[in-house]
Amino acid sequence: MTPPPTISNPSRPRPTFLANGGRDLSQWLSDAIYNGLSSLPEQPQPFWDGIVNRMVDADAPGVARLLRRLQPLTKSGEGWPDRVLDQLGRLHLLAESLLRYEDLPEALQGDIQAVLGYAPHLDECVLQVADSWVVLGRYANNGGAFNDVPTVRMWLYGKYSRRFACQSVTGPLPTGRPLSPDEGPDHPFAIRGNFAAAFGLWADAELTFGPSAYPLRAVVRQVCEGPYNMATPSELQIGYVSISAALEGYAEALSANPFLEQFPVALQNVIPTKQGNTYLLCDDFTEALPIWPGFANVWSLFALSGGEPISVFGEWEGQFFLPLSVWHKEAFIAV
Amino acid sequence: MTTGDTWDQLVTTAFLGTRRRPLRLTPTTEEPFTDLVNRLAQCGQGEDAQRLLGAAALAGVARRAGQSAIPVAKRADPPAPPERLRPPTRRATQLLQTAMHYHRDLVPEWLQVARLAGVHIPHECLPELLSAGWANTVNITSNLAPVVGERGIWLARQMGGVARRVVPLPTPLITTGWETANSMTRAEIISALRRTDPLKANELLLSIDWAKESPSARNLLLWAMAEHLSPADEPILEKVMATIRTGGANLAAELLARLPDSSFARRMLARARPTLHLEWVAPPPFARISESACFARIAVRLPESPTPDLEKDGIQLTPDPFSQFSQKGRGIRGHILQQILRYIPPSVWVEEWGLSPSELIRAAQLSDCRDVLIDGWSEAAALHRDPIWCEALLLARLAEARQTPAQIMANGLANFVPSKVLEEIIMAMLPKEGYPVGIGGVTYQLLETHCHPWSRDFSVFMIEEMARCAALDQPTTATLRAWRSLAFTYGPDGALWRALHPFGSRLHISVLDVLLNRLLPAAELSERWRYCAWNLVKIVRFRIELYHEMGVA
Repeated sequence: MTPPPTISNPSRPRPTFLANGGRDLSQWLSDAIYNGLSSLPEQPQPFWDGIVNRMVDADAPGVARLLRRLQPLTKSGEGWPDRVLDQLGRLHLLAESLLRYEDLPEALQGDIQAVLGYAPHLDECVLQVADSWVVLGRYANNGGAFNDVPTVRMWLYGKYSRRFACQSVTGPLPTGRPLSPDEGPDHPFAIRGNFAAAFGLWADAELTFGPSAYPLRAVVRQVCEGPYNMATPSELQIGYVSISAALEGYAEALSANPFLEQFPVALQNVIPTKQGNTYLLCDDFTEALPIWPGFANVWSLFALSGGEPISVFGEWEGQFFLPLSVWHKEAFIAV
Repeated sequence: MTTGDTWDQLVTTAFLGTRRRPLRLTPTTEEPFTDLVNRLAQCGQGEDAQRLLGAAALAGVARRAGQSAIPVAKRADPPAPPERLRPPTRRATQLLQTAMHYHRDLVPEWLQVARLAGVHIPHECLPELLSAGWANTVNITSNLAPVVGERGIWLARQMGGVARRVVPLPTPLITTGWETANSMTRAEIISALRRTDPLKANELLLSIDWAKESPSARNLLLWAMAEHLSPADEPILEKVMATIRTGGANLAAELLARLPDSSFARRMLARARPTLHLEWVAPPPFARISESACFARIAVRLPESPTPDLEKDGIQLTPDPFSQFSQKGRGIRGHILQQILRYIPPSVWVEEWGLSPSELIRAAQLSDCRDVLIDGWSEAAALHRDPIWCEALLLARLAEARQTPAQIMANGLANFVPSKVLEEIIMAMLPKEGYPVGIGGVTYQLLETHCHPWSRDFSVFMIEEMARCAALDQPTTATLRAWRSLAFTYGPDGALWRALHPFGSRLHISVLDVLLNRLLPAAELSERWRYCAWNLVKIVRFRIELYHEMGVA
């Protein structure tokens, strides 16, 4: 057995700091609504920086991350007040939760910690699952779009438990030359490892899930040594058979964890298509999910599909779908 | 009232601010959101702002949870037909991906080898290769189109833009789409018809009102005519020349000039003949015995003052003030003669006077109008792609000390010189001292021009030369000085590799043993040379594996 991959874990949040942060945030949000969203685009930089820094000081870097996205949203074109109010609603929910943090059930505390940017601790994990896991996809954001903290999320899927698990880490991404596909993986689940080489590998591992009303966040406790086999598309008969079923699954997850930001969705037999300027994933040509407009590799989906049904795995965040991997006949490819 | 209406109310109030507009939420009994809307209406008992935020939080979650799928209309396009070419192996796919990300100049070779092997491009690589970013690197028509496969053609139709260039035009469009097609498609129709039905193509070209076409449309159509040029095109090109003066007239004149029996070519020759005379001149007194024979000189009688028919034939009567090389000192008549010479195949003068190109160039150099003659012939040699004249002119330029690198490389003569000859020229130049060197230096520019695969002998020579420089790692030769100059231009390390890396894709792949046995030991003591040598080895090994993987000898 190899040691678990190292994940930089910030210290746990301090409840008194969180309560203070919640009060600050609540007041700031009230002021913004009292003065009107129309005043936000003209606000000077210190207006935004002040609350962001106060949230970092209040052990809530995740809230700071959500706040950083607000300023670009005020300049995001037509319909921006709609998007800004939605984000303010999320922040209000968080602010109220921070004020009552100690009174909340453990599962909800775990979900709030996830939004605040804390990875689960091995000693407080509530669910352990030993299974054969496959690396289904990885999201890596270098923080550029929203001047954000760099984030990496690696999605795993358990063969027998039929569970999704998400390892996430925030902080600086590895620097230097990108590894070439020729170089072997150091560890299939090493989140900062060579994803190109780790993608699609099965590995027997024990994962522990943090407290949550809808457990997804996990850390790897132990991983069996290789060799690791490459997953074949026939082994991955997973996911929802229709878009409606996927959305029902999301609604169910959201009812358990209203703070859920990314919901893992595997869709079977969908066809990428274009309607006007929107790219969609259609199931059987009756219903569709919109693909995230910033997704750069949308034509890869078309190329791999060729107009035929494919299976896609990605993240659904309530409005758009972000594809992370595709499988079709012989191919299983990260996009 | 539904959640949608409630949300709109919330957004309006939030936008204006609760300071200006108090929050009002109306309870309702309307299904299906009765409970939610009523909860929103009662949300919070505190300040309006707090109530609004509470309602927004609740409605936001409800909206996300209640998000419905987008209904989609019927299927627009049929799926891609099955591939007729072989799929690439997993390793061949990896090699292409590695080339695309680390060695961009090896991608055209991958495509060429795939074409020989009858293999299509891996589907996952298609979007990137069909994007505009690659269009400038990879020659779409010759390299990409034969190996995109059915999936590539299907994808190109979906993507549009640059990608559409790999899609063959559908037959109905060729036969009936002329009237409604845009200028780009019209040019494609002409190209397609000239291959299959040249009479129909000429009929369409004759029906064009060239005066009404935009300059870019004229150029596109004329470029389409450049392929498969034949005497049957002469009436069309003459019509173009008669109709327009700018925006395509030059191109039409060039195409006419390339038809040897065209009346345009005859007119040009008739204008040039009376102006040039070959005369034999006695050697000057006290000449050495070897120079005592008579030598030829071209006497030039510049054409008379400009006539309107010259302008009709596309001759510019005033020099272009933005021309790359100043025309100062040649006068209008010299400028006109240079243009006339440009349209006449230079081989005509060899037949006319019975002298070789190099002898004629020497005779022109003794003329009073040497610049007019040499520049006119250089332009003609490049226009008519005459390898013998290009070689002779390039050698003449190289032999002249006063020529700058830009003047030597002008007109792209080196591009038309046969590979073998160019290799001989470079092999003779490299060991010499004193040439202008650096990134603008002739030696390096000629090496850059020679982008065809190098012969084995030349590859071995270059490796030996590099080994010599690596062992010394001092600026003793022109080559090394060029490379060192680049190193100073781009920074201390990595710059040498920047200068050398194009050679990796040009070296003959059979020289791996020479690289290993000659260059690597020589580069052992110099860190930067060792880095470059290993990278060259890596590239050559990559190419060998590519040929092996594709099963191409």
